[in-house]
Amino acid sequence: MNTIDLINKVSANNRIATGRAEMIISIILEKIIDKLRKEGEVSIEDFGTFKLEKKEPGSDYLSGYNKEHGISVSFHPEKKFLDVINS
Amino acid sequence: MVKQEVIDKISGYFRLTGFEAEKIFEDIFAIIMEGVKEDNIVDVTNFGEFIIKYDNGKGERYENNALPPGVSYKRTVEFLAATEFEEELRVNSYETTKDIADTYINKKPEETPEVHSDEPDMHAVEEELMKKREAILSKLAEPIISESTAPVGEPVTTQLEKTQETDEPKKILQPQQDLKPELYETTSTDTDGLETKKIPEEETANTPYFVGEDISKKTFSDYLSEVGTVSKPETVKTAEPEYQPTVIPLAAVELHKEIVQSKPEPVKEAPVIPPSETVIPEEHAESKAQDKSYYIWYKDSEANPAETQNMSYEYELLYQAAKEAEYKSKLKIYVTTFILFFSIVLVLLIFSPLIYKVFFTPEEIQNTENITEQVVTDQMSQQKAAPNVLPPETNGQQNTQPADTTKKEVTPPVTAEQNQVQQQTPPQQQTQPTEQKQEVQKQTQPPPQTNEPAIEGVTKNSMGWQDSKFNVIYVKLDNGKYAFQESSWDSEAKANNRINAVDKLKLTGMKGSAVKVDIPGKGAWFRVRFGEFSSLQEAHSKAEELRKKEK
Repeated sequence: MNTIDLINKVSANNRIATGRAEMIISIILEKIIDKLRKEGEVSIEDFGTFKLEKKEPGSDYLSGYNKEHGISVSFHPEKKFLDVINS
Repeated sequence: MVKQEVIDKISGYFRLTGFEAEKIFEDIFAIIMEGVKEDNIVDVTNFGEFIIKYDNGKGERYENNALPPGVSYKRTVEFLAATEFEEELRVNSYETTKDIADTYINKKPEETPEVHSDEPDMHAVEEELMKKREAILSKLAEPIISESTAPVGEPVTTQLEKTQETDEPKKILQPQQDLKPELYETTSTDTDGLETKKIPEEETANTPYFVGEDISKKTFSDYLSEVGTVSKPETVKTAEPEYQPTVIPLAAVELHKEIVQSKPEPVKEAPVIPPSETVIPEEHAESKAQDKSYYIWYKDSEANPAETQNMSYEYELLYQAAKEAEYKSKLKIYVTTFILFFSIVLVLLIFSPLIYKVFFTPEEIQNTENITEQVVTDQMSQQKAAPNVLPPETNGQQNTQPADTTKKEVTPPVTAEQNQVQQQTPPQQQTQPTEQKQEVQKQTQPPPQTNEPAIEGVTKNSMGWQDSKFNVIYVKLDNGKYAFQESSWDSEAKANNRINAVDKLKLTGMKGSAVKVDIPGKGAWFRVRFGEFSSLQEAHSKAEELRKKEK
């Protein structure tokens, strides 16, 4: 599933235009980024939490850009998310 | 909470209700969860990927292709952030700012951090500040006060001597002396005629901005920069004891303020940091505008009214339901008033003749109508009574005449029989009165007059004689003459119009008249009668003539 499928499903379920669905998704992602940038942690109900982690640059856990700057984003899913996956 | 902020923004931008925005927000993440479950991966462009992995409970995670057999696993989700996402986070992330500040503080001035292409050049900023400082100094006229001539209490009217010695700044700027705000106020009036003090460039280049300990090395611009920050409470407390307002004119202060406001604002932590490293990268407004990620394009744009004018489907339903509820409350009132009004109009239309008769006609006319009715009824009753009286008094011929008429009225066979009876001998006359009596008994209507001659198509009725051929009624008037009633109208005007129309035909002896009659249940009617004729036959002939003329 990619972004286009996500947009189409959102527009179909809520009976809105695809352009509007795309804009809403972009607003959500931008808010997550801003929150992460400012607070380092973002939690979404019944979905999970994104955490900004800093590690030593060049560590083996990181790759590419992260390896150089030591920034990584971790995601911890919530129980409901796991239940949906394992159901 | 991110959720509430996002909901508020969506509802405000797209003019949706909070309920709708919340539903969309939850639906997006529900779709992501379902996508992860079905496809094992969800890739959101410029954000990251949600991938399913299998966890054996011991902290080991495997992808689907690499599951060792015979071991139970639970599915979990991992998130791999996209490079664009991490780039966004790198700039001004809360941990990176602290690191950068630490590096600037601890490192020597020679050791500069890596300058990325997006960051502004610090050396260039310093050069700009130096140039501005020189421009300030060139514009200002700094009065120089000597020790002997200018004590602190005097106003700034005396000119200072120019000196290039390094000791003089010490004398001029005596931070140990107490400030007197009154003096500072008096200096506001004197702005012209002051010479500027040119400080050598070497001093200005090498002197630091903020060095609290080495006051002797402070330059003129240092104190101006302090003056520029007087509005802030923190700097005011520290700067006041260090300069004399009598030395610095107000014009210089204002000019400096303008220049300070125009230059980029330093970071709050700057006073602690050496001047060569004071400039800390600010929030990159330019970098934000240059972001090429597709989901940030709208940030600086305003809501497009063409898109926001169209309401979402649910909002339209809610709007319609609300409007219907408003109208329903008023609809009942509208319907009831309409029904009442319509019913009143109907009642008035149905009973309008009665109402007109009761309320609008005068009493005299009502009485005359009643009288005419009585007259008509009396005539009819007389006509009824007359045939019973006449037969015994009249001659046999006269008896035959009504017999003939009656014969003709009842039925043709009866008349034939009666004719045969008439042709018989006198002994048969005895049967005639009995036959007449039988005919009278058979008649439902009152018997006709005995003296009238028989006319084809004319039958006797309550009003007179009805002529079915010409559709007229022959009436005997009070004076003994005859007239024929041609038509009857509900208004006098129509009756008069009919009379005028017949007059135009120019028939002799056709004098028209409209007789008003009040009929119970029908109201007032106007009967059009023509002529006064001497006999019924004359009236019949005139009626025939009239009909022929009309054809």
